[in-house]
Amino acid sequence: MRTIKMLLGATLGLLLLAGCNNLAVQPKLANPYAESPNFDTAARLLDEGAVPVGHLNEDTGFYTGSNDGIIGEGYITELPIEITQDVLLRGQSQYEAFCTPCHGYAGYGNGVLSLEGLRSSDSYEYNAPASYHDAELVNAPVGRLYQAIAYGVGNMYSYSSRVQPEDRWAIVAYIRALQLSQNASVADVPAEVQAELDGME
Amino acid sequence: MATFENQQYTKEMLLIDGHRYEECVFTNCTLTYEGGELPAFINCQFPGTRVQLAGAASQTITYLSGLYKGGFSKKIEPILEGVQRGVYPPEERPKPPPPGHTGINFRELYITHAVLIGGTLLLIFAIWYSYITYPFYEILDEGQPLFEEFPLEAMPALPDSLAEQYDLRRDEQLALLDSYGWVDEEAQIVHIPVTAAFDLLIEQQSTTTDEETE
Repeated sequence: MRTIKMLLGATLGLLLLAGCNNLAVQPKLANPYAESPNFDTAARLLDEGAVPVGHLNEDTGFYTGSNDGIIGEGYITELPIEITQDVLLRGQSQYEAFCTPCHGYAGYGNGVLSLEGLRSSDSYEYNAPASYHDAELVNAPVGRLYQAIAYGVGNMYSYSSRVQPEDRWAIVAYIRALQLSQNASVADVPAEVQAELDGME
Repeated sequence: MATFENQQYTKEMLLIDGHRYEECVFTNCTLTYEGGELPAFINCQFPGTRVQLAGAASQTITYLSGLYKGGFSKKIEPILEGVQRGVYPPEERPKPPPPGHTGINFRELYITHAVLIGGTLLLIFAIWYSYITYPFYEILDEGQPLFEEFPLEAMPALPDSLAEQYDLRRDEQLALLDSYGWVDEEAQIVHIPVTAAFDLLIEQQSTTTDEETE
């Protein structure tokens, strides 16, 4: 019995000692991209032709909104998807789910959160949400709008985990429709409605 | 311990401690036992072979001899009788003590019990103490309110009509997306329903595509 206890104690002691490994003295790569005598760099680079699994994202413009894949540069200027009624309706539902709290239903940057934000502006440097009808955003390339959704801008954080790339483009298409809706010319108004417009102040 | 089988030994002096011999023939040999592990002989023959004791075994004989001659003959005689009879009969062998009930084991048992009982008492005390320190319920005094009233000045200054404001703002914005009206009459800019904008946008895209095709 005594021997068993001693053996048990010794085993437990050894197990505990096994955890006493000083991680600080283990070899580390000071710089993963430093030159290596064996390979080009200390950290192995991917072999040429390696196939990514799950996230190929080969179409750079579609997935980043930029021709070069760089944030803030080389925005693509044309929507990479075809604008259809379904796409616009999908964009509308996504826009109303994610964008209206700040940007408002009509895109003037006056969503309900802007009320709260302005109220608490005493202790917080508050930047009002952008209005899509400002000349800067009306003339902005679609890639810039896409990147704002994908990577965030200003106080707006990234929605990449919530909105899929296809839906981001649908939202961008819907924003274009919003801009058109709030910046139309009289020629776009049907003749029967134009008479009513003339009667308005 | 080595095992030897079908060996022929002639005029050799062998140390037999711990060895096992099977079907061996010892001719005119001397087999020496030094008091170590017992040897075993299975179907062996010993013509002209003698046996001698050495080392610890020899010391034991000297010791017993000294006791016998020194007045302890009656103590030694049973041992000699045992030698003459052969190995100890099983009933005469000393019985091993029951495990865990003798000597140091028994003391350890007390210590284990004391630690277990003490630990249990300590746990019971801790539960009882925590219960009286932090009771699960509170007995209210006469007239004591069930909830403390939250001071009004610590509440966030939200207007009562906030939900109405939200609804109003939403309705205003949705009206812009569902009607025709002037945005800037001087510049001849109007707002149109967003569904009409859908059609315009799709039309613009098809026009652009057609131009590119041409």
